[in-house]
Amino acid sequence: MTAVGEAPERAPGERVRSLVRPDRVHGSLYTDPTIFAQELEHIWYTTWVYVGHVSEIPQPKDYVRKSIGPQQVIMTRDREGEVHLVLNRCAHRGNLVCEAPSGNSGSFRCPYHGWTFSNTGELLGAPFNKGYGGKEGLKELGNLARVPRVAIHRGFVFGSLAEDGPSLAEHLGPAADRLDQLARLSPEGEVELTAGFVQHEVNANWKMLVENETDGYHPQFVHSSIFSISGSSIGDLYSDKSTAVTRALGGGHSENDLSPEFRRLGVPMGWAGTLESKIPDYVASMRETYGPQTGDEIMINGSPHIMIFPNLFVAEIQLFQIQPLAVDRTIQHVTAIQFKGAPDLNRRLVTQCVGSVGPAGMLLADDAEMYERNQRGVAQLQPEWLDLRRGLHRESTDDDGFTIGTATDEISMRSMWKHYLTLMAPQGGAA
Amino acid sequence: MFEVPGSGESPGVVSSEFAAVSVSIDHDGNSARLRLEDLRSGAVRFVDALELESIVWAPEGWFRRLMDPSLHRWRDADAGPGIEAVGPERPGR
Ligand code: FES
Ligand SMILES: [Fe+2]
Repeated sequence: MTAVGEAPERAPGERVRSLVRPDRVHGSLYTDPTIFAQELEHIWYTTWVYVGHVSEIPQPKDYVRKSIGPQQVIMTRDREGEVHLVLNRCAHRGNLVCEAPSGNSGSFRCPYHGWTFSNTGELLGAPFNKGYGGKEGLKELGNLARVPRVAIHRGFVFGSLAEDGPSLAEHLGPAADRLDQLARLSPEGEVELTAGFVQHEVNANWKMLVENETDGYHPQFVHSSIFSISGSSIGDLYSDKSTAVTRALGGGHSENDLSPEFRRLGVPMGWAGTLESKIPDYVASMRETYGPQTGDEIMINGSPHIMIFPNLFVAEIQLFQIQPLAVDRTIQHVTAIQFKGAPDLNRRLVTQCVGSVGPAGMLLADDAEMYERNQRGVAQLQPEWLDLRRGLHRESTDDDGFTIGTATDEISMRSMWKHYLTLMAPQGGAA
Repeated sequence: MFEVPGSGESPGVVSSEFAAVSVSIDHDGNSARLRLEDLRSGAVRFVDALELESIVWAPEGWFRRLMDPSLHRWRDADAGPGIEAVGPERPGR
């Protein structure tokens, strides 16, 4: 999937390198269809991409339709419980094999001519097979294509369309700890994505979304109305007075770490904007599972706010999966995170997420408006470059060796672009 | 829901995007049997207790073989009799 002749390869890499500078990026990176095509090849069809969560296919033979960028993927569970990713394209003449968003079926029958495949992709038969020389002839026919590499961390299923490359653990690096941190908020140590997904489509380039997810500079402006209506104090944490930090985790991943503020507050569940008294069962089972002290620490520290490059965004209580479809078209698949063994908390999380990122949710509508305006804005000819220098002069290194800045600094964008270059223009590495 | 003819009890529909089959227990015979109706074609199949037990014990490979469309329903004309389910025009037996 990544094999391309070498001659046409060199020029685009060099071009991209000239468009990404340490403190600014060129507008054409968001608008040029040829760059988008290269991104599909060098990023989306090469690197590890988040596909789905094992809790979406709890039973043997369950399946759910997912994606890797524009590629349609079927995530399945075989009868032994193993998770598989196959591409949703019939080996006969290319029809979509699965249409329903999810179901339970050990085999898939293509609606066009009836070729039938196992849920791991193997061709089981075709109607009137004498036309292929009988049963023997079927061996010559194709199977559903499989995503060559599948790996799972804490139930989060990732796929890579490249046969070789870094392992998932190498790709995630310290981001894996944040998924662990998230799972620990369940008294049973497991996240469940069972609340259903809302799809938000925006006319904007996918990188607008990635950059915005950990942009701590915008919330006080863009989200001021939801913060004032809901009486939320979260907005105040995104200021230079806050002890919260923006952290580059490497590999294009970044986070807004609000936990110093939550620790200062010192109240369990303060990060979720709720009180211990509202969810007594959850708090009790957390203390029972982890012990009173560790349980409270986990509940005080809260949930991560992390963008895992290129498409998984965990925003404390909600999860976003970013799916680019074209240079100026992107879908965000959004769901409320649910924690196994926490029914009272889960009910609150769904209600909160409906208000923030549901069909009429205020938080996501704010951001979507900015994405689309931004996309229209960068299409203007001048001044050509987008400025990313905020906080460059005050970057520092934390105890773990990560580059950090204040809550509003543009650390995350700079580190995303640095990683972007290593994928798009590998010869030179980071500019 | 779907109306299931005959004296069946507890009708239910097992369906996916690929197929829809109504399932009920029929008591017209001397002992109970499972009544399966392919809701897309109207074809009906009765399965007795011993046949059901055999299905429970059949290896997965047996099911996989059944999934070959050419095996029965869509077999070539000269490949022998294929369809044994009761057609929609002959409900019952
Ligand atoms: S395209 Fe799928 S069976 Fe023909
Ligand atoms: Fe936002």
